[in-house]
Amino acid sequence: MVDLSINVFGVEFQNPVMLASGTCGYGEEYADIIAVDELGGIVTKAVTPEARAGNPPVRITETPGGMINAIGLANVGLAGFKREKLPWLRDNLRSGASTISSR
Amino acid sequence: MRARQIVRAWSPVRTREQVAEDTYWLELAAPEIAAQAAPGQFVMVGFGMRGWGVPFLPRPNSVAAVRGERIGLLIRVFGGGSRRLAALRPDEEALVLGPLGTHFQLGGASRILCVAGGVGLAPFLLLPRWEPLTRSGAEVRLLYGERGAAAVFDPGKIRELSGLDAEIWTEDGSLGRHGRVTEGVDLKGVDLVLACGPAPMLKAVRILAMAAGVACQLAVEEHMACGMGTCIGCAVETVDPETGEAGYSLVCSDGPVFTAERLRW
Repeated sequence: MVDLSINVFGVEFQNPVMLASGTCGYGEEYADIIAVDELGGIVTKAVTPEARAGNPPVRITETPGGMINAIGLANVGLAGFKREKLPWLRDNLRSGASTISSR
Repeated sequence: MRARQIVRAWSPVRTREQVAEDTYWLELAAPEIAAQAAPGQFVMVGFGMRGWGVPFLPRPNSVAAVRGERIGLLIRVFGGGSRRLAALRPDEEALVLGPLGTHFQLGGASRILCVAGGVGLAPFLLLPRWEPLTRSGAEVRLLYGERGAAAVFDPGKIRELSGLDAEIWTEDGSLGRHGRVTEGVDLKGVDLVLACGPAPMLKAVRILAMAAGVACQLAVEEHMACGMGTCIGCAVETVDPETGEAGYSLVCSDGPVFTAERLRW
């Protein structure tokens, strides 16, 4: 198999394909329909020190060929991320995919 | 073990039929979804990277029937996305993701009142054929409201799909009973109310059910992008009935079916 691995700032990625800035959620959401562990990595949704509820609806609207959103950085916060999200990532991104937390 | 498997597959259209003004009945071959779908659950229907443009995002549609390996969808044209879906022809394919979200819970109910507004009729076409319901032997009554006769889904087709004779209400009185469907809500002897339709209708049903102390579940509609809890775009205000803590839930993955107590309306 072709070696696509790269090293970015000292972090090894098995290939240069990453799902960026929360498009893959925290990984688990898409585990049914894509092989998350075959990616180079996923970048989680933003994690803030404290949990954030996010903006009141409406949060999304479609444009021709795209979408605009104003989610408001809704997230479980750092402690919640460590407790609820990291264990799944640790257990399921085993062979090579890396996790980058967005903040 | 996961309780269910979400499937994403190109699914050919098998049947397309106009059933009311701007309203179409589509059946798509989607065997893995058909095998799992329960009333209240939905599918995201779109075109992926084929035919870039409108709709860019897939559209959520309630599963309205399971017929063998097919799922049935009730699609009303509201804008560009639904217009594109409604224009699908037999053998054309759509990218279908599902089944998604929560479904109605029977909880041992024996007399169920279903209240449908517009294409909120969809989950109640499936409900009477759902195995847990047929097994329960519960009695189901269906109220179905539309603005006027032209929008009403053929009562014969409702009977064919669901086995129910819907009590039809029209706001202009052009067919069935004259008035809003919520005027037909009679909770005497009813132990579970299920509703799906426009938010004002859901809010009215919720108030009636809570005032009468009857268990009530509402299938909520919201604009969605991903349909599976990732984009966090379809927030609805909710309250934890036990702690009283308010916050947001996601219509796609925490719902679309919520108990009346859970919604902060």
